[in-house]
Amino acid sequence: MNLKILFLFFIFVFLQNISFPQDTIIVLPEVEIYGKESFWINKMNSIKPQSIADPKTDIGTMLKAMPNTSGIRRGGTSIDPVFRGFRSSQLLILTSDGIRIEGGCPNRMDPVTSHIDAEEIMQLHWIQGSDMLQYGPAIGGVLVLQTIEPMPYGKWTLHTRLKSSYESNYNGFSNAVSINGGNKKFFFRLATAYKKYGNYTDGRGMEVNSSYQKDYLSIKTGLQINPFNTLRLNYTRSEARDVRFPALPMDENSDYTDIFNFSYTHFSNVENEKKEDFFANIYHVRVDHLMDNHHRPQYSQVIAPLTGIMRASSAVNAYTTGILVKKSFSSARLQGSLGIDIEQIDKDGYRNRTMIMTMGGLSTESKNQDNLWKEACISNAGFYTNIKLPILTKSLKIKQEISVNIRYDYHQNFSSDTFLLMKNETTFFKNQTYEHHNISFGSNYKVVFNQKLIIKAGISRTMRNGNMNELYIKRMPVGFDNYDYLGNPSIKPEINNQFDLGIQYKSNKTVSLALNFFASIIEDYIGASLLAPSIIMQATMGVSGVKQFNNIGKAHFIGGELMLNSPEQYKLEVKATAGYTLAYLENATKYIFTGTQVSGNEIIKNDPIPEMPAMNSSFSFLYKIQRYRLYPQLDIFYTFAQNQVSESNYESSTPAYFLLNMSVKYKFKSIAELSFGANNLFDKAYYEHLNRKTISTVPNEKIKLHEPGRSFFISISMNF
Amino acid sequence: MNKKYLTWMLGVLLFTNCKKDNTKVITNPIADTGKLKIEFNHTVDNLPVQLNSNIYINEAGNHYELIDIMYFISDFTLYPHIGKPQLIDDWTAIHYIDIHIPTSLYWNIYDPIHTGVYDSISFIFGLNEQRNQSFAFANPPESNMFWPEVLGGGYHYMMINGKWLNPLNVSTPFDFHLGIGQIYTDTIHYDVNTITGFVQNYFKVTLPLPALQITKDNTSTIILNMAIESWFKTPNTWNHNYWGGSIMQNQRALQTVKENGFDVFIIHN
Repeated sequence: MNLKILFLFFIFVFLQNISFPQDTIIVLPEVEIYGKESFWINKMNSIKPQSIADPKTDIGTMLKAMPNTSGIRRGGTSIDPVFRGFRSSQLLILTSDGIRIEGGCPNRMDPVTSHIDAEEIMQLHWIQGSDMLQYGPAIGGVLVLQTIEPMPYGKWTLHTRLKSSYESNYNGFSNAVSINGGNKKFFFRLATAYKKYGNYTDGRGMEVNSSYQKDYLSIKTGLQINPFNTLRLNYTRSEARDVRFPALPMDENSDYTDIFNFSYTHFSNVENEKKEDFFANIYHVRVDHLMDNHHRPQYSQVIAPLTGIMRASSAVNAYTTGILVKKSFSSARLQGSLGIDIEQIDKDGYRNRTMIMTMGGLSTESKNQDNLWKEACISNAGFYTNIKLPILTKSLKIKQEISVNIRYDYHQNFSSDTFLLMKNETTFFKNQTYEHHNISFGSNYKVVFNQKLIIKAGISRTMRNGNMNELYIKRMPVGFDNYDYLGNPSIKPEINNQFDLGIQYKSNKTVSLALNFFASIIEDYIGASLLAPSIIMQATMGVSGVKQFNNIGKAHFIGGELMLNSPEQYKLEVKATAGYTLAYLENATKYIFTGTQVSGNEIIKNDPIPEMPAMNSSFSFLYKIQRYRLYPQLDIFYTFAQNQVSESNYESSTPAYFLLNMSVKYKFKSIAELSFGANNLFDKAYYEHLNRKTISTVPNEKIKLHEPGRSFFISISMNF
Repeated sequence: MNKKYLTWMLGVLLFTNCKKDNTKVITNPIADTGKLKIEFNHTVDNLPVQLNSNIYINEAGNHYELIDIMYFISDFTLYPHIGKPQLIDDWTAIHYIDIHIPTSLYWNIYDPIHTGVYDSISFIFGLNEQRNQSFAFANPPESNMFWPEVLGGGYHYMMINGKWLNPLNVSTPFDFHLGIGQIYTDTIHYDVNTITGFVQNYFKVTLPLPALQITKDNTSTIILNMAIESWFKTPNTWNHNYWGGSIMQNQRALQTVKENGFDVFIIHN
């Protein structure tokens, strides 16, 4: 489907409705209320897009505004979120309907966040501790991508929103149109977006091959049978084309994602308040991913030291199908919920390689095809319950509550692989059906003093099974380092024993504070161990060998986040945040190289886990000029040097950096908004510790991908 | 709470970027073992090879020069005076040698070698059928040894590139290559469409050791010397004027190279 045509269609629809509607009902999810409400509506672990002035092109980038949240950059877009040092399947990322998406790319060109358009986000919210168990099997955090949903109207209504943005560094345009409408019975939301971004220039003045094009379409419909029963039917399609990833061996040729879901919600009337009582959702997601090295030099010419032309492409299909059912209950003494979530992921993909060479006057073309996943399947059925029990106290000023979460998961993984890897009686890869029965549980204790001070402590034991890469991937460089990775179908679940402590102090006169602390001991940590070339050799050009996913022992994560907010009633608002996680493995194996040859190994005790974000901090200053509806904002970021690097992985440290962003927002009633400003105002040349290294045949260019240099932006949105 | 956690908690609260001391433990899982290093040497008429100099004359009287010498050895095996043979394959069972790459001219064997006296060694010159799979090597220089799929696939066992003076006294390139041979019905034009079968041309080399002693925790070294002139001498006299510059599609020539390989290696320690 060509989304450009659809985009033009929506523009046409928009033009049909260009006259201001007579009806002045406002669609709540899109309204921004200023005044007494804090401009920074972000909490410690949640963020709303309204607080971000620059064009919102990528959810991964938006998330970085939160403390202790980072992202892995492989190109100009699709930043892969990392929260508290947890990444990939240690985090569970789902939409507000609980939909899980299995991306197609083994290199995570398309993390879950890349399948939802940033303009559709109403709120991003991290959940940690045992509360995660209500959402699924995760150990590090659950990220809920709360999208804008259609709502019923009192009478037939149609509202349109149009937004256009431009960013100078990328010569990037972003356009989005959404139409909300309906009446009491039927309601809908149609949204489409189109982005075309060029290469960016980093702070050194070097052009980074990072262009991309993305289209998005969302059709959401609802039927309100009566005030207490609602049916919803949604369809979302996202397309990515010609997305360049200089830090990966291939670029994304195309990625087409379709998300279908049908849900039913029952509300009940509790003390004159409408509350969700029962929710059921069935969904299906399919991702069609194609990547190749068409834009790399070795595709069309012989690049020394090669003596032939090497072409490579991979095509992957991923399907996720799931059912969610949740029933809430409450009584005078307690409240809680019971739920079931069933999910099945099917994945199949292969890689083609072609070597074209001329030798002895004979030109030949040699081809090879191997599978990345062979009809691999993961199914998981989870049952959970959550109970909240208030503790009665004599003092009215103190409120206490205990909550308990328990979850059971039945996990099964299998594939149609015929691949068997054995050496000297040791089996490294053998296909059979593996089953796991996981029991996760945890408890929280919360005490509220005078509605100002909240202290929350929790303990949890959460489990997660291996993902598609960890179980079945075959020789692709999916990790941070320069190695092909091999899955391990028999990998054991990772278990996180975590302690959480949260302190929140709210004040209207002085400074509000929020502090989170956590400490984790992870058993059977899923990492990777190097396999000898006599067992298996790498398949990807440029990598140094093959690592296999394995349970590599015990890991420790310790960290936290801090947020300070000034009172919101003053014209000047100030906010400061900081976050840091220290993580290390009890025992790590380091291979010793003599020249390019492995000559031995040693065990490193307490070796830092590789690719852990550095300590980050931010300071924001907002001055509200209400009279002129002007909101200038200054953001200062300071990220400390990351010297806690893995010795066993020969990881290098990353220097500290300082950044300054500036922006101004101007709001014209609720009709229009203009934002402009500059990111990386001083054109600082820097890179984050998590940025991947550029793939190049030139040794001097094999350095970490630098972040974009100075970029001016302007963004205009209109509501009709 | 564990004191260690409290320490870290304080660290986080104070926003200090703590530096932790890592300790190392060298692992040596097998007792009474030593290490072995192999050095690869290349000579012509007992003198070190001089590349790009037309100073050599082979048995057939061809004046020639050498430009490149590259080859694989695999399945290296040590035969002790007492006990079972030890196959070297803990880390890698294939070693690539390239005269232009100094690091390839020695092989620090990862495998712990049992202490004792060793009488002989053997290895495969080239790669056997199981190891010689197309696209098995992803990176140069090994991947540049690619042998086209249409000619049998896998990799060259050896590439010796050079030049000889042809009967017209013109310096002409020769590719003295060894790999999988082909059987053609068209033996005049060697049309690849007439290939009916393939021939494995790798061969096993066995060499006596002058009493190699492996001692505990020590590294012993042996020198494996390739006498280049032997490729052109015994048992068949190689005449470049007869075989021409390129022999990849000529199984008779490949068979001759294979037969001449039996005595090119000499061992020193």
